[in-house]
Amino acid sequence: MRTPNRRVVTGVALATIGLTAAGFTIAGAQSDDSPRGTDPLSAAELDAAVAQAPGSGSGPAEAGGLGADDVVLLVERHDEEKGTSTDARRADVWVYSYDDDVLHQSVVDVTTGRVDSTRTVRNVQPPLVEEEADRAIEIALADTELSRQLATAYRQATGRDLTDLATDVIVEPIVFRADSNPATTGDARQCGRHRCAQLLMRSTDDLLVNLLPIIDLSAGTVVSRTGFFQ
Amino acid sequence: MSARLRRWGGILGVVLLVAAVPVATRTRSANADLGDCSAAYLVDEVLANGARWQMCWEPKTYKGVVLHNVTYTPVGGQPVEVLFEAYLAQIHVPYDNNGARFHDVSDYGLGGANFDTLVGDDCPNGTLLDDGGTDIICQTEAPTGYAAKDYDHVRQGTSLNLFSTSCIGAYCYVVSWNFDDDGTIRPEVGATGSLQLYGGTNRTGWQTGPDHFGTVAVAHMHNFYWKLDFDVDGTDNDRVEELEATFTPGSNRSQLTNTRRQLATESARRVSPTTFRSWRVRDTVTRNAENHPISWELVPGTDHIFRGPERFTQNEVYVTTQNTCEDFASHNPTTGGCGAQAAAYVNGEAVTDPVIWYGTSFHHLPRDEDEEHMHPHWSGFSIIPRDLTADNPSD
Repeated sequence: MRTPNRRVVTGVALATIGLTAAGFTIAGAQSDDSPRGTDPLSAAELDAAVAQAPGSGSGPAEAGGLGADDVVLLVERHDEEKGTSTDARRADVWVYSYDDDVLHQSVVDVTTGRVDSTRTVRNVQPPLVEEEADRAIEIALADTELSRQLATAYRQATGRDLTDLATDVIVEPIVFRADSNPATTGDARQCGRHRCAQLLMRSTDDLLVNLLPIIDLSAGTVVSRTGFFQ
Repeated sequence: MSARLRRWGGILGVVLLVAAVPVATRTRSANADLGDCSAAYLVDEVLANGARWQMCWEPKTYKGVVLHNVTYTPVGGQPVEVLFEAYLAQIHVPYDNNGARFHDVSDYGLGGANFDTLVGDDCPNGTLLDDGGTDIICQTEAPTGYAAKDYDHVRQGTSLNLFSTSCIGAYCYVVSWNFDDDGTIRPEVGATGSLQLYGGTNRTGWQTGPDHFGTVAVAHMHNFYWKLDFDVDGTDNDRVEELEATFTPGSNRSQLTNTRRQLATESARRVSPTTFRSWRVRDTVTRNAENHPISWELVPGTDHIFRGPERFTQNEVYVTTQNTCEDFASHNPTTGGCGAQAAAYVNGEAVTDPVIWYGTSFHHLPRDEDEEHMHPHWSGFSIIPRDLTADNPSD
């Protein structure tokens, strides 16, 4: 099973925190003249913001502020309150702590390195980043029954046997919240309080693989193999 | 040209102000925010008839392309800000069989790595705009046909089109903005790509086999919601009015009475095709040469209406006062004291800085022609100037 080439990481996982530009690709990064106003943050500004990101640890990222189960979900220009100056270059930095299923939302002044505000919220589930997408796929593949159903769905879609998951199937995980679907049942009802992924899959020749499995990333389990609740 | 450009004030200061057509006869209010961005994120286009559109654009990870300080200059007129900010604020996709109910903008994201990288084939006759070296917007001036036809008086029109594309699962969305030379703004979304979900019977879909294992492609809605923060001639002095025409009592349905009603407090409103309901944001101070208040009017553009179990689907229009943390029409992060969805934003506040959330729906009943790759089906609406100029500026 492979992920589409276009799905490049939009956030950075703990493993790459502090390693600055290595593998750090965020749309909006600029390397030429200094950005201004409503311009997106430059690569240097993004790095500066991430370095200060508070998570479940005791300090900023560069000082070990992120916990082992923290994932950076978002780094981008902070929307200033309307009517205030956009001269300050400030970033929203969102870090999800899997330890206790909370999202840390910080505003970081990338010029001074100061963290202007931080709040911790529950039940807020922004889109997945690549590390989470990869983990969702790992959990799915470890489920024998889901693998069997996937092989059947693939055969139905393409008329071929599934020979190599890594090359035959494109998967695009999307965050799943139980309140998206009033019919949700079982352990999938935890999604929202927990962080969950739903897998959208198709063959490499663009035929739909008609399963929408739901993975509870917080619990590390498959909570629905089909994703259908009727 | 330096990437570190001037503020728009500088740009606008050199706009040719030829008073050939009477337009808004006022000086720009001192607090008008004319935007601040570098050349890389500035769109500044003079169309064939001489009208001009200017705006900053910003790529956001979840929202995709956000437009800032959208400003229009009619032919021979002065620049007037229309929108402080505008973007597509949700794509809600509930399937007829309830097999999935996606919220694509908030839960997947239109921007970041989900922007499709555009190439020349995506943008024939246009110019690609890049974000850090990746081409994500196509900018084109395209003909729109008649600007006017009055016997032998013929004028052709053009429009500035900006679009980006974002692929989410099997679907690709074309998020498009048309800025016409007459001051009309036409936001549109095209849904293309391929079908996402199969199963069940014709009761909840359409038989599109045998290509797909002889079964049924599930029908579904595409409910698109835009957030439009109007700043008609700047942030101050804006007011929302609902325009409508109803049969005149006692006229045996032979006469219509036109009404306009101010929405002074936040309101959830429904489209009403039988009474031709629309909404305009007018400036209470600035008037055109005929002493009429200038305004832009939102004209709905669909005959599909979806009212499902979600509260935000119960109305198509939410008039609110601007709040920075009200970001998405649904699945909004409930931080900063904001509600979770558009219906919750209507909580009795006075509308001092109008925002209109507008939703339009398309029920997609699949057909054989949707396989393997679908034609785009388009959803959109119009925002037209009402009394910006005293006459047709293109005459």
